[in-house]
Amino acid sequence: MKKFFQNFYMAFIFLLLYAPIFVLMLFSFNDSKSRVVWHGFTLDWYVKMFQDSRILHSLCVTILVAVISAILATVIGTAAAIGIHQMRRRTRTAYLTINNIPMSSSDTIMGVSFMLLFGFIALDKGYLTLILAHVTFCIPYVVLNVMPKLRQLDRNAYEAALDLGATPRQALWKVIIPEIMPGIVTGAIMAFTISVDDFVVSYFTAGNTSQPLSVVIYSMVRRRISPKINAVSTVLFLFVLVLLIIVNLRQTHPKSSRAAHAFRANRRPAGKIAMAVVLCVLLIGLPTAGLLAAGGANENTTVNVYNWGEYMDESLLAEFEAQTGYKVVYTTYDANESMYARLKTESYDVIIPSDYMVARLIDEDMLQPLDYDNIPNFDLIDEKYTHLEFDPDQQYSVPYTWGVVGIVYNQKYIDPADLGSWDLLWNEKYAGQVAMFDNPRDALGAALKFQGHSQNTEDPDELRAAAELVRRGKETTFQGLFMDQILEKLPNEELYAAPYYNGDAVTMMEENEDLAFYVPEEGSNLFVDAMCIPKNAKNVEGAEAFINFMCSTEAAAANADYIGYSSPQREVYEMQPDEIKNDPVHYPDAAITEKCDTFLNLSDETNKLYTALWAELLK
Amino acid sequence: MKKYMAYPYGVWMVIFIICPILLIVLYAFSDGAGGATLANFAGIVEYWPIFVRSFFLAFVSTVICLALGYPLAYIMSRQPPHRQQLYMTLIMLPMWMNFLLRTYAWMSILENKGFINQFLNRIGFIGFLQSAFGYTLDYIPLINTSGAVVLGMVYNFLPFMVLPIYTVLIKLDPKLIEAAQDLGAPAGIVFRRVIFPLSLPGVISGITMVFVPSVSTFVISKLLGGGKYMLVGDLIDLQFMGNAYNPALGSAIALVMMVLIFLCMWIMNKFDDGSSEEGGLML
Amino acid sequence: MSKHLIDLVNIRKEFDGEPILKGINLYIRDREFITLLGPSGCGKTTTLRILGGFESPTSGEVLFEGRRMNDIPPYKREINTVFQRYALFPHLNVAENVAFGLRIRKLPEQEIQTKVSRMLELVGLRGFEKRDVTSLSGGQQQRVAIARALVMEPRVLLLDEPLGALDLKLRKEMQIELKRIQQSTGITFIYVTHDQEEALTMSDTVVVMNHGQIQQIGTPTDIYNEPVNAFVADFIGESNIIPGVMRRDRLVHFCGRDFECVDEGFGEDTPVDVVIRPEDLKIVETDRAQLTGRVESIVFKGVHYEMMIRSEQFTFMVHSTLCEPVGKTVGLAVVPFDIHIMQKSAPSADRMEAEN
Repeated sequence: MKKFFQNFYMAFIFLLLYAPIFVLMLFSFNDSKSRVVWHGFTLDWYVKMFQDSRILHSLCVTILVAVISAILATVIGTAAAIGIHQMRRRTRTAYLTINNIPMSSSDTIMGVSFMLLFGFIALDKGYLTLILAHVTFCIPYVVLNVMPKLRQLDRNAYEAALDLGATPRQALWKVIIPEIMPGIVTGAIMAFTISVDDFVVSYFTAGNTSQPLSVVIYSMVRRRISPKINAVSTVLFLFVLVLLIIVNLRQTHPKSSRAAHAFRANRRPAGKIAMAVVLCVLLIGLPTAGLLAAGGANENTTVNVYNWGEYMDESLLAEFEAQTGYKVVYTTYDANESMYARLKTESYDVIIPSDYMVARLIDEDMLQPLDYDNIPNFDLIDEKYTHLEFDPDQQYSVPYTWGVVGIVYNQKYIDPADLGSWDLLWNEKYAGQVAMFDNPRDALGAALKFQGHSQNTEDPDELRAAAELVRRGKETTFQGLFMDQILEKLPNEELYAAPYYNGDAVTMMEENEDLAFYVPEEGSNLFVDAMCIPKNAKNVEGAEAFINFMCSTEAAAANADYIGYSSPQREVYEMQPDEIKNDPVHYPDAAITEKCDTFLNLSDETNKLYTALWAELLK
Repeated sequence: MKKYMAYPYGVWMVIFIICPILLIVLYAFSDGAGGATLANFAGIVEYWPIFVRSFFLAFVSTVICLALGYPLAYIMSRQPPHRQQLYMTLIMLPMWMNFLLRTYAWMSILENKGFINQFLNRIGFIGFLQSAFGYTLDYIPLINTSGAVVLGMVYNFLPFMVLPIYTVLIKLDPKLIEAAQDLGAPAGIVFRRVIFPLSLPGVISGITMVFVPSVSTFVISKLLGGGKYMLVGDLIDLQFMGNAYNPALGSAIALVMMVLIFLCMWIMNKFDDGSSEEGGLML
Repeated sequence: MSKHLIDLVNIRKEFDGEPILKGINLYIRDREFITLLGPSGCGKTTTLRILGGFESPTSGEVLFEGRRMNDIPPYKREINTVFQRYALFPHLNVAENVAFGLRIRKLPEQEIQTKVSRMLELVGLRGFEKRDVTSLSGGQQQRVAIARALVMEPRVLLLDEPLGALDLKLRKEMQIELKRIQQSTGITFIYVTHDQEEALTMSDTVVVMNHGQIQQIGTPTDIYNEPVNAFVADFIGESNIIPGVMRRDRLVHFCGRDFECVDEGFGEDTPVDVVIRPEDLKIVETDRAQLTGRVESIVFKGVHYEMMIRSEQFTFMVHSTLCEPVGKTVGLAVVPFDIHIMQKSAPSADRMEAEN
């Protein structure tokens, strides 16, 4: 009875531990992007995984960083443990206390502190920073695994070796190291595991050319994870499973193999070391080769593009690379403000901020003026979209898309009588079924419009009232505050209505036919996103080439077709069939745009008030 | 076998552990223009509800982890050795699936149209609720609740509770238990008076290793809490990598959190009289 | 008399300012079996570690065939050690443990194998070559440790309480075995123990130590029969140590009467310690007795009975084949030759230090 209860309990815990993993693995074979509905078996995702250079690149980074960090951590940590073992109690306690800090302080704080350190010593984020950080949090695990083995060691074993004629170095290698080997191996395996599993520290220390799998997954998690990632993870998981099974089998039969070797025993370590070296060379070599094959990170030939998520037809990147010979490093963000924060510590060649952010970056002298001689395709941009308020002299930006914010809703669930106004988001009938933007400017902007104020108001009272409205929504009707996740939750019918941009509305409506879009009658936000070159760009020529390429009719047309946003490019608009030209979702008409206005850059005080109100709201 | 073998690591620790922490302190007191200020700390006051929420949710998940993890560690430690090895591996193994993905998978399970609700619908439980109690929704809200955030924490950090306790329990001399039984203690008392007190170092380090990451996590709340349950980790992320961009304030928040965590640990270590050098941290 | 192989000259050793050795002067002859004997903490193991090169003396000289070797590291000394807990290498099997030092020396494989099997033969472990050392019994591990040291063909073998962990019967066997090995190999053995019986059985020379000082150096017979002070007398075998006064040469006063003895040169009316071995006290009829006392307790010890007999001033331990009932008053007698007169121990220690 007791036995049964115990087994039942174990089964319950392991079910809890493995249910998500099972789900992930299962849906890597799902013949659909859905992660809740089974559509049949396929191996497509495994095929596609090998075609996705970004995923493969990040996989190589993950393995390379984990192997190098584990090796360095094992060497430094083992030496440290041996040294610490010899120390007086006081010094030893000091060492071990500091050694415990990375394990007992949170990884968020560690990640942030590394970021500050690397910023302070002006070390660019990249492989080096990533490895340094990983080694630091791996060493403690090695030390803690080796120390007990040293304590178990016969106090005289080292002296016995010296006594038998071994020099201190020989004694170390022939006696001490073999004796503590189990601890070293466990430490190394743990270091490797923890490095592979790490996300938080990598997030703060990886550069945009050295993003490990976890950071790439994070940028996807906020919208929708491609089942390709499930496939990669499944492969990695099974690889480790097999590895662990082999290690365990070896551990359970060491005696027999030891006896078999008998007199040649002393050659065994050599063989083992050779095997380990071969393994390391393979584990380092393969990913390195993979990274090299994908093109080295040479500043003169790479163009670092930082864009909104799902905001570019990524096949155009390959085309650009083929045409120009540049190599594109493509990373994404989900809010103007996070882009702004990143830009403070990292260099990019092309960024695509929205109107008000362009103004802010110009104000803060973070953009460089463009040389239109190198961007001849700029002439193709419709004049309607140039010389706008955020860049009156059109010195710094090339319009990329434009659009309006509206409400995407599901016709199956929303009563047509409730449509038309921002009010839908506060309609108690749909409590828990609607959502709001997860960034202050968009969220408060919607509330301001609903209350009949300007989105660019600097009046604190109006702003406070707007914040209060959002807070009320959060407490009553909003299921949550989301950005990119809306792109998945609406088509999956996890949400019935949410505000979003018209271009993405097109994409969502293609996925779920019940979805529709309207611009609230109170008016909304008209936005222009534009390509800019930051001051800290390292490859201006490449950036100009990229912007020029994106303005070409072919590329702009393909892109507009893919992302669904309205293109500011004259020829592209002309090329569209009439049903798209006249579709208010694709190209909102004058009646709609009249009610809308663009965000302007706000004064410092108002920006601060925004931050404060937002913080207040999130409490 | 010389002390100097530890010196490289000593230097390493100073550069990569001590210096970064000092930098946090430095930034926390800086006004961005090279001067010293306390303004950043004044700014934190606004956020105290987030601190309260973080510590509360972390506390709840730590308690749940302990309640779930202790019996698990105990049962594991009573198994034959090869079984123990198997269970150990099984507990470590999920860490090989990226933690973001594991958390993400919970979304599929918990969502309104996720697996649990699909299952409840299939067996007619929701229909029963609707007809018997006039329940209006056709699902049970699981995702985007604080419960989901706690679940995410428990799920991700449970192994960190189990392993240290297990490590201490297997080192426990079985003769001690026999001695206690010999002295006439029934099973309950043996556990309460002998086994549990002796496993305390493991429990303490387990609590540390669950509580600290829980209190500072910043992804779980985003994925499973729907952005409605902001935690200190999210707040810090926001200051360094997100909308707010204010590293000085971020540093101040990080510093305050470090101090609070340190205080919690210090109070907790008061319960642990054995001054074991490494506690049960060893895995 | 063969020449000195090792000389310890005025060796002092301090740990954290705490003196452990307070001036050791000792020479060791070639092919000798010498034992350092003393209670734990007396400095015998430290002396051995200085010989092995694991510690260096704070001051003083260690000479090997007249050459100073204070700073020669252990791996360059022609000395090998058998450690207290054997210090076998668990990751190597029996043969590889024994072969360890030879491999370090890079001897040809053929030669290593020959030497290893010969050595295992010598210690009676033939057929154990491939066994895991952790699977061996204490006595077998002991033999491996000895074989591992001896295979190096050292000039001197240091043994640090090598039999401490073995049971009584095995210990006796190994004592004989070690003596046999020492005699057949002709290697100088320096043996550390706190077991006086072991020291007396095996050694050519016994060095009795206490508090970091040498108390007495001599053959086992000398040490047993002519202990120089009460400490040695008490440590070597059991003794009755009675405070007394030397009246004059050959006459000592204790327990309320004068006794004839054989010692001279203590001066007149000097306080001394009188040492009488329990087996030297004879139980006699009360009328022929020098002392009388009541039997307090009696314990059967196999060969003899051990009785505590209480006289007016002192309770004597007496070993006798006679069995007297508890409570009976018996007489005790001792011949002059068996009365050993010693300096009071405390001043004697001071004197030794002053000499240095």
